[in-house]
Amino acid sequence: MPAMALATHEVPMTIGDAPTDEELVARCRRDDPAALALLVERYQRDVFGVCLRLTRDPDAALELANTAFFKAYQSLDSFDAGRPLRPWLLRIAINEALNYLRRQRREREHTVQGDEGESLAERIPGRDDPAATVVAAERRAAVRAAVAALPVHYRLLITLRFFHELSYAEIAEQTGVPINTVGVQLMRARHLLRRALANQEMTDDDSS
Amino acid sequence: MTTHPDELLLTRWLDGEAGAAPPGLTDHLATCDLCRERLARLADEAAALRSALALTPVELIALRRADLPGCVAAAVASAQPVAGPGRLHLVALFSLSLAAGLAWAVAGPLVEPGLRWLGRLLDLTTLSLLVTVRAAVLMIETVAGEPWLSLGLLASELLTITAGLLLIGLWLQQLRPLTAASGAR
Repeated sequence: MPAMALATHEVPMTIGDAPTDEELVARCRRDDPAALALLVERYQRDVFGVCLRLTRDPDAALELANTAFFKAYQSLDSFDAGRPLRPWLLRIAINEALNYLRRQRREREHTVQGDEGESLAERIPGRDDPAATVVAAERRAAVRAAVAALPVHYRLLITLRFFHELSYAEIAEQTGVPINTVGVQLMRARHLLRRALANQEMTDDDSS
Repeated sequence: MTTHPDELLLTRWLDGEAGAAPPGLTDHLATCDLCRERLARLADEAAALRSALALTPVELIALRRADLPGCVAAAVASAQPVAGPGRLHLVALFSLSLAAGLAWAVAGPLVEPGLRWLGRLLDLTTLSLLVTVRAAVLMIETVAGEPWLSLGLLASELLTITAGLLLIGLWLQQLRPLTAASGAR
């Protein structure tokens, strides 16, 4: 697919193979629009995914992903092409998402307080849909809702570990958390999730 | 390992972050049903998290429809520096004044001396003001790191400023005899 996408534009530097990130960065620095499009295509899931899991708002996540890529493009001159591109892009996206959340917090109160069971119940998409009977789909939705209800810091750690599959060292680099503490904080986040899911199950049992 | 490993150790080992297996861990897991069950639960939990956090088909469709590559390209294209209206107006005014000054320099000898002097003074004042403002803006923009549209625009702005300065110099030279003459009267 990448080779086809490049067919009508510049001849790829690596003929027959997808260009490497280094090649794409070099071409983007020369204002090659095809290279920029390919770079965005390659990393849009990662960038959009982290924005979505942090903000819990698909429209905001798309906007933030757009901004993150734009800012990355503007900062390409200062990027060390010898370093991996993905963590750098994620860093920009995470900063955008966290700044967005700070702005949201300033503008309105958080509503994720009070009865945790209730707020989790509101977020489970399948609850009002009688057709949503597949246990696995409901379980996924419940877990996603529980992650969405986590405090931002834990939500970020969980997302980086289980969505982006980053190592503890990479997570430490992204978040500034000491590497020795990453495991502990991930464990705490998982404890919170277990508690939230257990509360949700109790709420389901009470209501049934 | 005679005691059961704590959850942190099991998690780190499951995540591949514990380095080599701590001494006795694999032997303990081979013989301890409880810890094997704990490990299995942790692995299931990790799998559930991965599955839940993966982008859903709906989210993927939304991402595809949003055409992020197109949006980013549009944002990059619209952010290319273009001459702002202020800068273009200044350039236009400067050019008009320059043209008027050149025209006056050509037609001036045909006009009465008194009016000629006034016309040149007005042109001199206007051109000096514009040259000063234009040079100041140029310096401020350079210091502020404003991107230049192109070498062509930069060259044309430097040329017009240089031409303006030369013209001011010429007029100042021409004004001297006129002022001397009016002083002598």
